[in-house]
Amino acid sequence: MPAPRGRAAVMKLDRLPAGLRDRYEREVLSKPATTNRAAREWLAAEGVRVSIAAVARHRARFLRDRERRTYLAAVEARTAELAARVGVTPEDLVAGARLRAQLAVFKQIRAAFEATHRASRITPPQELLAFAAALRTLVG
Amino acid sequence: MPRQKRTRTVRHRVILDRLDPVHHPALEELLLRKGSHAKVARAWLAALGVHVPLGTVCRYRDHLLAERQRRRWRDAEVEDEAWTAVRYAEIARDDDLPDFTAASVTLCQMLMMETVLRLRNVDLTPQLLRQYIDALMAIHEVDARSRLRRPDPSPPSLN
Repeated sequence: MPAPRGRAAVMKLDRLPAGLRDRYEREVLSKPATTNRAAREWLAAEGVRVSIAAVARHRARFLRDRERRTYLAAVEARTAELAARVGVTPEDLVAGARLRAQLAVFKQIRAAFEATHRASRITPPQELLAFAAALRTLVG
Repeated sequence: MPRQKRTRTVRHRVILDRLDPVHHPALEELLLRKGSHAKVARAWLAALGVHVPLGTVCRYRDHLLAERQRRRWRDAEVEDEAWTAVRYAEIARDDDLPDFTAASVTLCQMLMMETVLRLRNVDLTPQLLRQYIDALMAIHEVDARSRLRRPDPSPPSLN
């Protein structure tokens, strides 16, 4: 059975050669005035034939990812700044992140346990497997 | 982060296309200044040779205000996240911290036991039973790994 068209088109855009992808992101996607139709025509001129919907989906994801990266970079920079101010080393930050992850998993399991114990909820096996996977990451 | 907005196809503003980029910061300041009127901004644009309807100026101002609000939310969130990371780092320095991973493994085993007890009242299909057995094995494996890396708190006495 052939893959759905939209899905295949997104994968096609994901697999653009690195040079072409960089140019596409810089010259086409990063310009707010570019329409999806213009982006599709630009790709067609480069020999890549995809649908408008694929272009739109890929573009939305590209912008979302870029915003996320910007946010994470800002958090990292601000964290480093604050850490230096209060005398926290990068090793401490790594240990802190590990502790935070441990607590997050603990809280999730405790919530599931309380729901099972007090409200007689039957925990689905997928949830138990997810807990085991999270714990395995922590245990190493 | 604030909720993701629908991504629009065309995100550009005609004012920015027509106005010399040198004047963009001045326009932004003019529109965001408290008590400023869109009509004043429109006249200012017209003096620079950019003729746009009043509605376009108003929409651009709304866009700028929304962007500013979004930036404020994001900055507050970045600040919050950075402080949280630093606070956790400070707490993690403490050598007497409890082992949350070991506690989580034990809790997970208890959860598994509670679930198994409640499964008596459930019509289990072979597939579901297989999934629960897989989960049980996975938790058991994590427990074994956890015990291996945990130092024995009470070494046996030589006497």
